[in-house]
This record gives sequence, C-alpha cells and structure tokens, in this order.
Amino acid sequence: MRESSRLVIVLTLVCLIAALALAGVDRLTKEPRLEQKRLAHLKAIRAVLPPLDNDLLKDKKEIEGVTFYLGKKEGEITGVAFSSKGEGYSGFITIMMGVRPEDDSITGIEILEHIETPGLGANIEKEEFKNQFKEKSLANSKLVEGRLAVKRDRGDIDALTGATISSRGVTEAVDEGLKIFLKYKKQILVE
Amino acid sequence: MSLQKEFTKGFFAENPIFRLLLGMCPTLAVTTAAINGVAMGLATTVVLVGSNCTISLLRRLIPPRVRIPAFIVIIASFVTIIDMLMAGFFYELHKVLGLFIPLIVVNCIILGRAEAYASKNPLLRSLIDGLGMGLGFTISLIVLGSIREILGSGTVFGFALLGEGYPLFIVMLLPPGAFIVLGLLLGLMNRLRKA
Repeated sequence: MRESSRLVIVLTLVCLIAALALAGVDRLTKEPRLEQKRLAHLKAIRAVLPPLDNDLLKDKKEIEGVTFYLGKKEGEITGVAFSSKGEGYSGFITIMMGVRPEDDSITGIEILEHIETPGLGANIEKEEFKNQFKEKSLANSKLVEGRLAVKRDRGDIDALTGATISSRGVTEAVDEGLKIFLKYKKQILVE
Repeated sequence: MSLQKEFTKGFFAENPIFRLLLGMCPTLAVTTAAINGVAMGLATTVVLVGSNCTISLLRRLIPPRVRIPAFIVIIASFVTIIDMLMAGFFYELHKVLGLFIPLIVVNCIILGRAEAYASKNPLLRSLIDGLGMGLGFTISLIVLGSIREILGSGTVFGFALLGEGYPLFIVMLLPPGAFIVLGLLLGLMNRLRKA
C-alpha cells in the first residue's frame, strides 16, 4: 500500500511540475509568438502584392470572416491580398495570395503554414513552385471541372516530384481564393 | 569506461542508427536531403542532452515502476518548451526546424538513452552520453541524407553536383529509397565491423 501510494505521489509530482513549466513557458512566449506571426503575415502580404505606398493595416476590409488587404499605389488599388486554405498531405496548407483586380490574375503567393513532409511536400515553399502561379487566373488556365488542377489531373499546374498531394493542396487553396475574390470583388473594391 | 570513450561510442561502436537501430521513424522520414539531417540531428541533440541531464538528476527519486511514464512526460515537456521558445524568439529558425520538432517526441533514441543510460549514471556522464549519441545521430543522418539527395535530386546541401542530363532516381526521395539506402549502409557497417 505504501509502495503504491509513493508511485502515485511521484508521478503526480512529475506531471504537476511539467504542467507548471509548460504553462509558464506558454505564457512567457505567447506575446512574442503572436507578434512573430503578425510580422510574418505582413511580410507575406507585402511579398504577394505589387509595390505599394499605403498603410496595409489601415486599408483592409473584413468580409464574411476573410480579411482583404488592399495594396495601393498613388491611390489606385493595384492588388488585393488575403489568405486561403487547401488540404495537403498531412494537414491544411494556409497560403497568402495577391490578386490584381484589373484582370483577376494572381500577383503572387506565399505559404503561411503547413505541416508537409520535409524534403518532399515541404518543397511547396520553393520559389520555382510558387512562382508558377503568378499571372494565372481562372480565365487563362486550363480548368478541370471548373477548377484549377495539376497536370496529373489534366490541368496545367506543375506538381512537385513525389509530392502531388501537397501540390494539389496549394492548387486547391489558390482556386478557392480566386473564387472567393470574384465573389466579393464588388464589396472589396467599393470605397 | 573513460569519459572520452563515453563520447565517441555514439559515432561508431554504439551508433544509434547503424548499431542500435533506434529512431528509425524520423530517420526514414527526414533524410531526403543532407541539410534536413543537420537540422533534425542538432534539434535531437539538444533535447537528448536536456532530457539525459534531467533524468540523471532525478534517477534516485523516480521509483522504477513508474519510470517510463515519468520519462515520457519529461521528454514531451522538453520538446514542447523548446518548440514554444523557438517560435517566440527564433522565428526564422523555427520556420526551418518547426516541422521536425514533433518528430523528436517519437524518437526512441531519447527514451532509449534515458532508460538504458541516464537513469543509471551520474550527471556528467549522462550529459556526455547525450552529446555523443546526438552528434553520432546527426552525422549518420547527414550521410543518409547526402546519398539520397545526390541520387534523387542530383545535389548535395543544395549545390548541383550531377549534370543536367543525369537521370534522377526519384524513388530515392520516397520512403522506399530510405529503406534501400539504410539497408545498404547497415550491411556495409556490419561488413566493416567484421573486418
């Protein structure tokens, strides 16, 4: 009996100390973690939009839970950035994408978050892969059943070697994004 | 055993990958490129040294019958704390290593060393054991990663090594390639050991 109560006490203590340490570190790093995420977010927005001269934090609009950041040059809206999601191999892939309102084509995409396999699916972060989406729009792409698709699925997006599912995930996110943009375009652009 | 031997055993005589066959899950998963080996190896080394030290210090307090759950709680906490600290203060590094960190929890080398070594040895020895094992693991991952990267992508550490026209073995980047290369290296190591 005494032996077993000792087991319980020690294990409880170990877990208690671990829980306290985790809670402490979580609290300590909460602000810096959120701040880093915000900075990364802003950096991604700037990367996907054409050069701009306005304050992105001011010129943004929230419609149906999606935040649209308006990039302006000399008062003209030259690009709209927002994030979109697709399902990859091991989880959701979140991207930031920029769209030019003039012809509804993509000005750039950045990968915000993903948990794809390092060395295979994680290559979606490579410039060569991301850059192929530039200038694409629903109008100038080969659509399969109304959607953007990778070459394996008879579309025209080059999938990464050995990572077709991750490539499909990004393609799906871009496709969804373009459709969301078209759906809210009027509301986004109205002053 | 001398302290020096304690350190060097992780590189050859008791190499975690090629001799102990521990930590196969992260090994097979991440070694598609040499640089991944460096990242995974060093992240594991940090956790291994930390958990070995903690467990060595607590070795007399933890009753043998609950040691495994206690070790697992300690290791998982370590990994989570490192993950949060990196996300908060070293964001760039976290972006590169972030994907590997959850894989460290499932790495049997950490639990293996806690159970087989740190729970029976004093602090300094456990620290050196963790360091040697971690670096031995790192080097093995780099070797495996380099071979797969050269054959599968024609590069090593991202630098082009083979010419444009070289036919690449894509299979080397996929899970079967990991098993093939690992198997051949294991055979080679056994051969060298016999000789």
